[in-house]
Amino acid sequence: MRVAVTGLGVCTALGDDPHAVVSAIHGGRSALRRPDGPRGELPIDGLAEVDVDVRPFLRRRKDKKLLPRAAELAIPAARRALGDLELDGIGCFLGVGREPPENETARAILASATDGELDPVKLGQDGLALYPPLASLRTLPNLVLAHVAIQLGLTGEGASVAGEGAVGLVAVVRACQAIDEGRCRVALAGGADSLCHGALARDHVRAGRSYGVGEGAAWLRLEDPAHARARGATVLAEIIEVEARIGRVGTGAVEHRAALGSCGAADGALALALSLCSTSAGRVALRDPSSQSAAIRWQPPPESPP
Amino acid sequence: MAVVVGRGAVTPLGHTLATSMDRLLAGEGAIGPITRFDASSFPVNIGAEGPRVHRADGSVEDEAVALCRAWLGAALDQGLDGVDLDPVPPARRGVFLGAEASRPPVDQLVAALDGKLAPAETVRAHAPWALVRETAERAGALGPAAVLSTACTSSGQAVGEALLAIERGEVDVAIAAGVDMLVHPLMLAGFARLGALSTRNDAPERASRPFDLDRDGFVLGEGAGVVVLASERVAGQVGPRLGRVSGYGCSSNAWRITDSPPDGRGALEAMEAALDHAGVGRDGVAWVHAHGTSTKQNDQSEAAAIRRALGGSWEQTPVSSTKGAMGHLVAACGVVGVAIAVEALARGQAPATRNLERPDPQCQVRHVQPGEGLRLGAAVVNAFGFGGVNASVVVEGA
Repeated sequence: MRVAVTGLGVCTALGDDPHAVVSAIHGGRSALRRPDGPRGELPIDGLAEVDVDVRPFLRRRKDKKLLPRAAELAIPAARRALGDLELDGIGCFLGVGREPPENETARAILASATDGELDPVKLGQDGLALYPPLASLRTLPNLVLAHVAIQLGLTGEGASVAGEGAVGLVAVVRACQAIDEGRCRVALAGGADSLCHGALARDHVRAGRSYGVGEGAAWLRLEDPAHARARGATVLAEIIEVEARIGRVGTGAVEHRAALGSCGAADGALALALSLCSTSAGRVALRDPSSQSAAIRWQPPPESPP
Repeated sequence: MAVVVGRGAVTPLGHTLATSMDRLLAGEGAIGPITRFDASSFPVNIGAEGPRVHRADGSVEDEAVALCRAWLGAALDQGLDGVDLDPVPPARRGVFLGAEASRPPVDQLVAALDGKLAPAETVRAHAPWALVRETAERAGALGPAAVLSTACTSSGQAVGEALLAIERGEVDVAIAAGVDMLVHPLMLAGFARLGALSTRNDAPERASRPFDLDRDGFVLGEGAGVVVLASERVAGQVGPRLGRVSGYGCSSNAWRITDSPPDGRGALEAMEAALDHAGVGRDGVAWVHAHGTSTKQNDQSEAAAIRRALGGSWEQTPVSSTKGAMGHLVAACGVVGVAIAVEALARGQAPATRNLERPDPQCQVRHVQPGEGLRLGAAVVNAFGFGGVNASVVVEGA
């Protein structure tokens, strides 16, 4: 397999320039802070939230109200990875986590509870008026992918892979296979997730307790090498081997977690994107609690100087 | 191409694929008043509930993941019945699961929102991907695996990914599965608020009417489906040849979250890609098992896509949707649709669309007539999702 990496985009608590994020991490910086304010009661030592304004990246600024948190992180990173490339049939493959009910929905549910249990009759009578019309759609895991595809006009093959740390890598594997098998020439692939937003953030902290809790997004622009050459694109690396399976694939440490916290379903793609910035050849592998695991091996592009 | 060596389904119409198919062909339906919880105060109080599951103490199960686990397990039992996986090493067995949003137990949700921390095990047990590991363990699979979560497209994609894994030589057996549980207070609240559901509470049996002029929305359904695919190389060793899955196409609308483009272009691209992949000519399609949700806009968009995809053959190609009988199984509908297609091609008969009384002229296709036989050819199964990802799968006879 040979798939060219021709773009990277990240959205992290240490910034949106992947090279600068790598330098910061290697320089010992951390974005993790002791939670305060409304999140002060979370049972964790570190929280790394991303300060992001998605509106400049939207077709219509008012679309922001439709976006779940992971989409607010995913869209700017996807735009940076895609750059100004316009092409029909660009694929989009994304690893996603659970999108918890947001605060408005939470209020509707709580208003419909009696003695700690949801009362369906009360929900129908009183809670429904409080229930946001898009609540169900906002918690579907694939909505992050949908918003990215809509905002960036990506009409090729699309897949949303659900899980925890490894699924961003699984998404990259699927994208590489789609390109290698000729189903698309260019694809964005990555992961996006937030463990520190939404009404169930306190449950999400479990996933990152030993690291601190974070959020983020990372995308790779992947391309058929011949297509990249033909249009004169700069090739950052070539992916030469992919694997996605049940069980272990020889996993390693995920360096960024010490600085950014656990970013859930974004971890695998973040690890890959940051590694591509720091190592000209290497392998990233990850497994998550669902047993989905994936590994990606890359090397420098053929034309790159030694 | 992959050989279908096993298939199973648990649907609102019955505990098995065979029962569901018998009832579909008999024109029966499974939509009625919701009984799982008191839905009387909701603007919509009808649904197509999956078969009841009883707990060890005899009480009726109502918790989402427990129901999904039971339905998926029963569908997997059917799918693996008569299949011998022993000739295939675990690393050459893959699992692709279409599963959608998690439905945490309501009491856990309320407790969490009220400031109480649920045990990590509980949270993870109710994540949408919780069942993939169990499915892999039951099949002894250590090969490729993925949980596809693209709403109504999820398990159509799972079948497509299973086919691709076999074609690229990664595995010799791939289990494609899908499961969903929709008749849940929070789902009912959400979709009712969205205005996507039929409000025919006084006539639930007539509520889901794909392609009909008087359709007014979809009906929540639920269940599970499984197809077991094998490479040509091992098919003869592992199970009976029940059919073939020969094509898969996928596209994104990049249009709107809940609507499809009126010209059907995303769906068209998925259908064309699937037919091209299978090498099936447009005149070789014997049946289109449409997504056909019974919503105004999406049925119209799909009909446009079907006409364009089939070109000059559309007037001769029968089309039907099974959602008129059993509602919308969302993440499970794609693989259940494929299992039904395998069964329809084997029996030489496809179910007509239930409640199609006045075909909408804006949804012009050649509708299956009740009792009509199928000519030899391929079936195209469509699964088009909220959010705009489309999957089409081509199924052929054994």
